[in-house]
Amino acid sequence: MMTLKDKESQLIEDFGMFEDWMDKYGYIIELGKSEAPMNEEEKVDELLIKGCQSRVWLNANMKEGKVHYRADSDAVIPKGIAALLTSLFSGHAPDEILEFEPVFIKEIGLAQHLSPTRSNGLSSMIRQIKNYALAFKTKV
Amino acid sequence: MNSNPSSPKLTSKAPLTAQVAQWRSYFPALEQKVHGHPLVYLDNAATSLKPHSVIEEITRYYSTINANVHRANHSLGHASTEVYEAARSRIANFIGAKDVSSIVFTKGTTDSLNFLADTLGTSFLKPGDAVLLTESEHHSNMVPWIELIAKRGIQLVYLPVDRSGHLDMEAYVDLLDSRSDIRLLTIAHSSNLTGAVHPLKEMITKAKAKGISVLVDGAQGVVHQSVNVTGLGCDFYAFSGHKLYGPMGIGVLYIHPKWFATLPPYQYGGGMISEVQFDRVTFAEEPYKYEAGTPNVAGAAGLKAAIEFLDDEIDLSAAWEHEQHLYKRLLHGVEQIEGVSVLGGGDRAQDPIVSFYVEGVHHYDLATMLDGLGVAVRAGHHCVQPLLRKWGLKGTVRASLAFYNTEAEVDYFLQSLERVLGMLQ
Repeated sequence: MMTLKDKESQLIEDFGMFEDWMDKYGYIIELGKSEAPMNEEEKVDELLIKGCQSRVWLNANMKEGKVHYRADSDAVIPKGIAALLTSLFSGHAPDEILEFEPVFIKEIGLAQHLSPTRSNGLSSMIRQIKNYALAFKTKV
Repeated sequence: MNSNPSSPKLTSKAPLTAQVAQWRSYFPALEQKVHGHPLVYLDNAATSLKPHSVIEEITRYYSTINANVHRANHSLGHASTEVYEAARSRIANFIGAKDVSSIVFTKGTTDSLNFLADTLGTSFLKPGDAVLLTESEHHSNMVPWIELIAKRGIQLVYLPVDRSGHLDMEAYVDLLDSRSDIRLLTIAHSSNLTGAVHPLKEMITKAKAKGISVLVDGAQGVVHQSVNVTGLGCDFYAFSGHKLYGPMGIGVLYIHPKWFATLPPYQYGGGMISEVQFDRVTFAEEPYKYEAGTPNVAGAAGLKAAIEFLDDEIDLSAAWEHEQHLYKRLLHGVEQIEGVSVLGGGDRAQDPIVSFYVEGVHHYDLATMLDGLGVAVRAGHHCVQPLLRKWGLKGTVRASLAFYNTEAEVDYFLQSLERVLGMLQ
């Protein structure tokens, strides 16, 4: 079982293969396509992430001590970024998620490439991922 | 993984005329790369780039003058006052105002419009009075008036706008004939969403015939056509420095002198009084009674430098002709791309703005990926939410031109747009 840190290193390495931003965006778009879309009924306003200029929904459930995340968006790039986050954080215990301080956003240049508002959206996504972990931890 | 071989390059066959090259040389911000690509700046309707002379004037002001205006009895204070008042005169001349005191400095168009909604709301508009505006007004010329519904009991009447961005002039005439409660028309010179230029002269003449006062939001209009407030016959004209190649944080409110007696000050404090006792104040004369506090002198100086730059260095009729030429190329190119729908367009008077959307593609994805290719455009609701909602749209992508843009840049944008759409669809 890979740790979050290992998975993050792998992610940074994957992005290092791309020569320019169009290729990175192409990869992010593909990631979004691989994430199963949410049902329309599931896309309720309570699951919307605040701070995104497009609509991004994030949901989570707990199975055998591990958190599993799912996300969707009405825009393609945010959906890909959300998919990147859900695959990174899914399958880990709440404690590991809560302790993990991601560095990949800076490393792969996402922060400088997304508009400030979108970047805020990205940090809002991570905050919400941690909020779910905290809620599950408190419940256990 | 290799870059896409069909990657667009900034190498159009279209010649860059000597004149456009000369114009570009005045703007240092054009000389940079964004994400490894030469910057293609097509967000001019949000704010324009600044020429060297404006940047230098601001530096000069802070380096050698930097004193408070009007009250200082020392040389730098006199110099500062001189700079500030020279800017006022230059602006009066620029927009054809007969009386220099009718030029009030503000923070920008939004500040000018809030100024008027607030002061007209208390001094001129009575509960039940109607204010006429268009559906395509920028939020800056809508929200301050919406606030007056609750605060002052006024009504808002909206003139419909069609998908070309133009107004229904028959509806306008009908409204003027059928309603006697309209006291103010507040209207953009041209739309920041579609670029449509409104027939102001005709509209003002008709409003005036019914005794209706007129306020013009010139934030976009003043950039792309010559303005003469006296010829237009408007009561108020508001604009910002930063869209007119000047600094941010400085704007203008033209107030026709006949309003001086009616219109109270907007803010109170230093610089706007002639005498203060513990319980009573006599205000200074216009325009000073409308300018409380230390003004943005460097901003005023920078705006004057921008106007002088346009006067001295730029052949404005050639510049506007070039903008229209680029606009047509851009509009034609965008319309050729499958799935793209344009708001605005058509044959009528038009600022060089193309606003469009693509069914099934989110505008933020488009703008984010275009930025990856060095192209700056705006995506979103452009502060015109109610109208976009009426049309069933969440947002558009807007490309807006300035005279320093080139045919090659327009072509590069079109190629980039096609490439990005190919990845998103």
